[in-house]
Amino acid sequence: MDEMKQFIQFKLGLHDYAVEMSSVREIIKPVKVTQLLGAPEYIQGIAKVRDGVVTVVDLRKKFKIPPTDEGEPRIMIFESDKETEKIGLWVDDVVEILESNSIEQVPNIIHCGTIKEIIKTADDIIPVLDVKELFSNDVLAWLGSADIELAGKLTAQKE
Amino acid sequence: MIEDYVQMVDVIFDTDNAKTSTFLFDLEKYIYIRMGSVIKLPLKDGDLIPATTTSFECLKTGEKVLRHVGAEALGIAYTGVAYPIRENGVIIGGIATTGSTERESALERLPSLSKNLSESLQQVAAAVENIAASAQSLADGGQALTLQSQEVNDKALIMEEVVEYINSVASDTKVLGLNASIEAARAGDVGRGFAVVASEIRTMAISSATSAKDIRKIIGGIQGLVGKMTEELEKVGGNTQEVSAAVEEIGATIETLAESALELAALADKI
Repeated sequence: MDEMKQFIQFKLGLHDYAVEMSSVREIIKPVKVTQLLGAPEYIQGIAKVRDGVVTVVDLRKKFKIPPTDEGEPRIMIFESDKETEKIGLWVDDVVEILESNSIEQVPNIIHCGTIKEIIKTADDIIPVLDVKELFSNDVLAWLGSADIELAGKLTAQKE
Repeated sequence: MIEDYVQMVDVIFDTDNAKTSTFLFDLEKYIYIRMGSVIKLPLKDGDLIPATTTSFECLKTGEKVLRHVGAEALGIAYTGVAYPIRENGVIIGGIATTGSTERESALERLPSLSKNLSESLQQVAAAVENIAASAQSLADGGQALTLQSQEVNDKALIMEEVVEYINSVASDTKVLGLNASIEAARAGDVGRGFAVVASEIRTMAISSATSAKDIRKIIGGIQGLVGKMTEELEKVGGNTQEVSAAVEEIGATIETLAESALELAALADKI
């Protein structure tokens, strides 16, 4: 048995995802988001949180996830080394804190950097987003492009 | 000859539309009887004159005999009259009639009857007025109820606002609990105790939210019921109005009837 790890389970549309709790700085209720001219579609804008500025990312736009009225929308703000580079992820609902040691690696065939691992619960499996990869420059560049294929791009760059 | 008077019998009989019984008799028996339609006596031509009749008394006294008989004897009031017939100053028989006095007695009762009718109608009119007043107060009550159910609805709406507030507090508390958990995890072993508290806060927030949802369902139920109530009340209101209109119509009819009764009473007084 692996060591118990804590995750935060949330929803994008009707789909459940999770992130490692240690990567999350805080969760806030939706605030006023200022749109940025020229920013890619998945950037909802920037928001003032306490004294800092957070860039709010909306993954639903990129993956064409239909918005839902269920749940209470939240912005999940992630840890960042640089105070100026804080990123918030718009989610449709924060479900719960999940504690699990039943973790499966992502099958190689879909390995593309954004999914780190998979949590197995009693009656479901929940993909864990790799926050570090997700907001790395490479992936951000891909998110901004119209390209759906990420894996090939990453591989190409590594070579 | 007494037989010469037979035609007289027919004349009298026919004059009264065959209602009055007419008898011609000699000194001991009936010679010719035309039995009327109202007073029927068990007598026929040739019968001896019974001692109880006016005919008998007339022969005995030689005078006109008039006798009023109440309704108790034959079930109907009548008057018997007998006149002697003389030839050359000698009584040879007589002629008698028995006629109903029903009309006269009816006319006598008419004033009191029409007075009764008038009085009864006045009572009915008063009762109808009462009904009309009751129907009106029923309609008023229905209207008040409709207003009150509207108030219940308004209160339910206010309650919903309060529940909405409770819900938002619950939602804030959940965020607080989540952040507390994150903070506790960051603190590592030191934060273990705090993590338990944070988890309790989250549990509490979730159960508050569930309760708020339940309350909202109950409020929805109340609003549905009030809506149905209002609908029913509207139906009752419509019915009450119909009753009210009908009662008014009856009242008008009774007024006309009362006027007719008064006229009748006046007419009866004149007869």
